[in-house]
Amino acid sequence: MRGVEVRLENISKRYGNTVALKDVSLNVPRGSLFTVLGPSGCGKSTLLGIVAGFIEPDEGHVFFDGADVTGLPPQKRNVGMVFQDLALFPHMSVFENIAFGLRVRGEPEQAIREKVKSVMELVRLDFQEYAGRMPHQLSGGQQQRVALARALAIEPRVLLLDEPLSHVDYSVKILLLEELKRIQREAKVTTLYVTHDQSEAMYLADYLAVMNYGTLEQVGRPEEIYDSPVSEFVARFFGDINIFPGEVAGLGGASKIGVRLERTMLSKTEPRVGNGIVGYMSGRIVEKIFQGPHVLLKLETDYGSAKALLPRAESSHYNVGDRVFILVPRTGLIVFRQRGSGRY
Amino acid sequence: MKRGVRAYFVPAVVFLAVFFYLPFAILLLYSITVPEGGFTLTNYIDIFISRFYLQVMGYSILIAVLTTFFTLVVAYPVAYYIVFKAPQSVKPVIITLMIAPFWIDFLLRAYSIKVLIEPLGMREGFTTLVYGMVYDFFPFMLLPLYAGMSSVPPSLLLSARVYGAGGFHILTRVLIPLTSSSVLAGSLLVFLMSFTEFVIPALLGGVEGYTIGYAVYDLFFKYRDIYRGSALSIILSLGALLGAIMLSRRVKIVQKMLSE
Repeated sequence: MRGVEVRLENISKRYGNTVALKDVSLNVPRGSLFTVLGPSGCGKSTLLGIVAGFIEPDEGHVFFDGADVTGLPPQKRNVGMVFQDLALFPHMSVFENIAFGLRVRGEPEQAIREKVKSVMELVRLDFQEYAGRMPHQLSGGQQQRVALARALAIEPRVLLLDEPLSHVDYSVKILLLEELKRIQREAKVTTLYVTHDQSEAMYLADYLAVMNYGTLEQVGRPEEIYDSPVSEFVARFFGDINIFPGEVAGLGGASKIGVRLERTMLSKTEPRVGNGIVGYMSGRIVEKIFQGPHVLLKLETDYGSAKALLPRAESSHYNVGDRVFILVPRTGLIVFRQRGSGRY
Repeated sequence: MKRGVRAYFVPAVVFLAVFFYLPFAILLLYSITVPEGGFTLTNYIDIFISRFYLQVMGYSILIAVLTTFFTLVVAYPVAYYIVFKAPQSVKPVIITLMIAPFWIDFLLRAYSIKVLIEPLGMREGFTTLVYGMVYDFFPFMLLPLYAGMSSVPPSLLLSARVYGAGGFHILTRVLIPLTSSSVLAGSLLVFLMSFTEFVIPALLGGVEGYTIGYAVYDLFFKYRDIYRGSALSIILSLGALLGAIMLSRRVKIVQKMLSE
């Protein structure tokens, strides 16, 4: 199995007056796991449909390994896709579901059988036990595996996943994310994974694109995007953040500063600026939320509400109603200007 | 069943008892009676050994099969278009237009076709009567197909396409198997109605319009033989019942598959 490099060039798509995609260009490196993250209705599913070929872009081109496939119908693109509702054929057994793409290609029976066996092994579904079952006899997680096996059986050039885990319980989700990552590495197939869930994106992505209103806000490695978001939207959608109005010397004009929750520090005594602290404000703790290893503190300040994420041991010094100082550290400080931003 | 639940069925049961079950029981009674009094099965035996009635039955089955086939062939693509292709805003309009003829009385529709035969260069006879039946029973095929296809998630067709299936494979491997219960439901409905139909063959069939429905009519109203007429009616009803039972079992299987 071998993935291709997927390149999108200036893709635009409108539905009537609604702009679904506006001049989107994207490069998905061969064999990588690329996650597109965005709120519902941001155009990410349209993007997948265009790569799969069942949605035609109004403008722009799709390239697989440099070859223009824009006009090619889906059945000629050789892509594997897992739909949000999985779209398993309810009238076919697990075997027939996985074999579907091979059957319509007219592969010989023996080859089909071997291929189905090998992809079932890859997704860790026991052939003896599950090949003959019907989809409705499987658990949600098993259905996911079948959908994935069906997508992989045709040895796709690109694997497309459209929010495949949105209907799965949290514990199963974690397990399936691990499995998906393993399978993607083993199959070495270029994968485009669309989701609105930042934790899935964080867990999976080699590369990440954050989408909003039909445009790509930012593309990069997850750490880059987390540490240096280009906009408030990206900062808030990919991880949580405190944003305060502020002025940064040397930059001129009004801007905003952002601090990730885990970098936001608290103090009961008035701190001194300098020594890694660029500023502080006073506030009051209004809520304390237990989150396992961490405790989330919600605060009210003169500049609006803020949050801090403290290790559990440290949080025991703080109680609801306490007046505290909120410290803005130099490390990890994010500055938002009218356009663009950067680490300070 | 709780008492509260039972109450919902009272009007329906009373209505059916008075207007269907009671007459049906009388029919059943007549069918096993001889004019002189006393019970017998000869009314049934007479029908089954009569070459004439078997031929008429065979002819009616032929008409019903053709009618069912053509309504299916015409309605299936229409249902597909409405469910999967038509813009959301246009759907109700198309459905309304498709079943609009139904707002007009059945008999009037049959007469209107009779008026149209000559300008269209057709004659009364076999072809015209099948055409009339297809025209009349089309909505009975369309509506179950529409309902059945609406329950097929569009993503199934999309994924079939993505996995390499062209139109033919999508139809034969995905769409038809998944809509088979509505195909059966619509077909059985149209088959039974066209098999026992009396008015359309009488109006449009000319000399080729003698069907089993016509034969029942003749037995009752021409020959005044309510005993054999009842027996023939019972045979038709039992046939219909048998078909309905077989169908409902089949439908259950497909429903179970779809409802995961």
